[in-house]
Amino acid sequence: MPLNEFQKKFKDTMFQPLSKIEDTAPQFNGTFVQDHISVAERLKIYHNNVLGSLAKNILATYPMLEALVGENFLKPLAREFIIQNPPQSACLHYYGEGFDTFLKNHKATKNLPYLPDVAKMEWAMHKAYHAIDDRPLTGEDLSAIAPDVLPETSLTLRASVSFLSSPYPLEAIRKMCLGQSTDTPDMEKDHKTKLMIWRQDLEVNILPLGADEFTMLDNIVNQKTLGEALEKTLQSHPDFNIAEFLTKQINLETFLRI
Amino acid sequence: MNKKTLNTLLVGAVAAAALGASTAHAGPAEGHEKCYGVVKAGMNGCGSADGAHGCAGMATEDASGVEWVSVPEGLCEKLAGGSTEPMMEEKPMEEEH
Amino acid sequence: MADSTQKPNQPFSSDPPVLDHPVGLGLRAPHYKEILETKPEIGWFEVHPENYFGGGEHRHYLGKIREDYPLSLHAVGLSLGADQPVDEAHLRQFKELIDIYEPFMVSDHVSWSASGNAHLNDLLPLPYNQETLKRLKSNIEQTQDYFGRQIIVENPSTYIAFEGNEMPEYEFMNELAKVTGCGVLLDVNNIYVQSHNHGLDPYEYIDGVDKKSVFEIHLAGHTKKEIGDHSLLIDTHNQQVCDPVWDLYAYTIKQLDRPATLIEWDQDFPPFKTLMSEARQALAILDAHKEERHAAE
Repeated sequence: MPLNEFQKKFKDTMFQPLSKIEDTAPQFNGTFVQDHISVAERLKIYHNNVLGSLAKNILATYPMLEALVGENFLKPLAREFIIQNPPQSACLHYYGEGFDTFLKNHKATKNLPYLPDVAKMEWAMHKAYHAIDDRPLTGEDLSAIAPDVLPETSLTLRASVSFLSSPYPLEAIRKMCLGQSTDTPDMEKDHKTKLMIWRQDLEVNILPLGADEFTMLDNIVNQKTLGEALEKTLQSHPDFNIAEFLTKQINLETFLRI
Repeated sequence: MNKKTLNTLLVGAVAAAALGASTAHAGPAEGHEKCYGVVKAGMNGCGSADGAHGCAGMATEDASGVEWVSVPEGLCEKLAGGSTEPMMEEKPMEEEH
Repeated sequence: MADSTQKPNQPFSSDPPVLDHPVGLGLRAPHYKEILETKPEIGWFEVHPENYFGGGEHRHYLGKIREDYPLSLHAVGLSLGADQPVDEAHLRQFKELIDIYEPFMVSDHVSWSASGNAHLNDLLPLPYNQETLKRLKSNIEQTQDYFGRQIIVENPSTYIAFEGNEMPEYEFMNELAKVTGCGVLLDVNNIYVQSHNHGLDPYEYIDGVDKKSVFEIHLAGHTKKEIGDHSLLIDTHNQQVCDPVWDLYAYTIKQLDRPATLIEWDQDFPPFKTLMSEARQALAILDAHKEERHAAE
């Protein structure tokens, strides 16, 4: 079998449930040596290495999910995710993105509707932890921008920054998972949670945001310019204080140096 | 708000921010919390990640496997109000470890 | 590097060879702080570059540790044996680390881990034939050209053998070094594992290796998995080096000149002192051989 065809078939054999190995092993007749240990048994070693190591990675990335539902529940879900979404890079720091959407669409989590949002929060923390060391925009950088071009300027968030909103009490859930709190939050009401997660120097931080700050950040990401972002924010939050917002975000080092 | 007022507002805000940020001690705002207290393991390893040499599981692997537990077991029981209603009826996949 | 007749036999490009203390340890996150606090007496450290793509704590600690120790970058993600070119984005991020941390050694494996866009995160087996040799040659040359330096490649642990093998693994490694100018990273534990799994003689393997291509040795622990009446050894890197592997190591180094030797431990991490005691055992074997040689002269 040519190398390319072999590698493709081997790859497909790995990204399938363990129960399929016996059925797919015969396609390697003539490729692998048959001896006292069957080809299927030998393929299972690789299958376990590939799916096992990737599942371990997913669980290491989502420790709160594990604390919430247990390893025995989460691991089969991780394997299913891996089979549907093999890593697209050899660097595994960024593997596991989209697990929240996978959970959302999975029938196993229908009674755990908050689980995808917890996954989203964990992904943001993980992403921030491994984000590149890019340079923050300083107050000096900002004041160097000529006033007449300021409204046309676009700001970009640094690689580590995420912000998310959820109806669930994500902070209370996080404290529970960390063993910092034994209080059971009220899951019935809408908590209107808004969080920013980012890294400053070496620390990954989490900070609750006001609705207006959240909207402004969202507009900065989605609008073309600072002027447009501000205008749109003021439409929904007329009392929004742009000076306070900029001072705070510069101090938190969330914008990328232009 | 017209464009001119908006721009004036923005220019003023930037001046305030530049001043505030340069005089204030740069650092996390009130109410922030650290997410991680320890160095997280690297994800890539020799055929494995932080250990994720899946082959660690090999020594204890059992082909019959652990069955999918249809009820999640963990802190979620508290959040679900102690409900242990089954989440799944069938096993989607067998366990390897 | 394109002209393979100008074979560079000296891979140490940034640091002087670390031969005064040739034994190194795999550097893993749980030990960063202890290393910085205690400055252990060890020759050098080795890391997987893929864990330092991105930024934050990992790069911070690596930079600190690099101030005190020579470093080797041992990749797991180039997928040199894949029937496709090496990913340029991966090379670019890897090269950035080489430029920053100036490693004395750069290595990866004689294996594959990617097919198309899918990455399997494992060191997968290759048939030892002309087609594979050609593919590896092209990918190793692409890598060496990109880095502007020689790399060394490691013999893998495998759990399955190919009908299409045209030569033994050691001969394949010798041939690779010859046609690409790359060096060989000889993993003695992998040779032991291979020999058990495929019914070979590990000493014959060592004898067959072209010693002038060998620039580094790896040692690690493995796990035995029983399958019916038989067993396979799995390269788990989760325990101490076993006695037969120490014996094989002692045999190997007699044919080499105090080679850089690494103790790898990748999961079920022990206290750091356990790693240090493994390193001291390797050093003791190297020293014993040195004395034997002096006595003979």
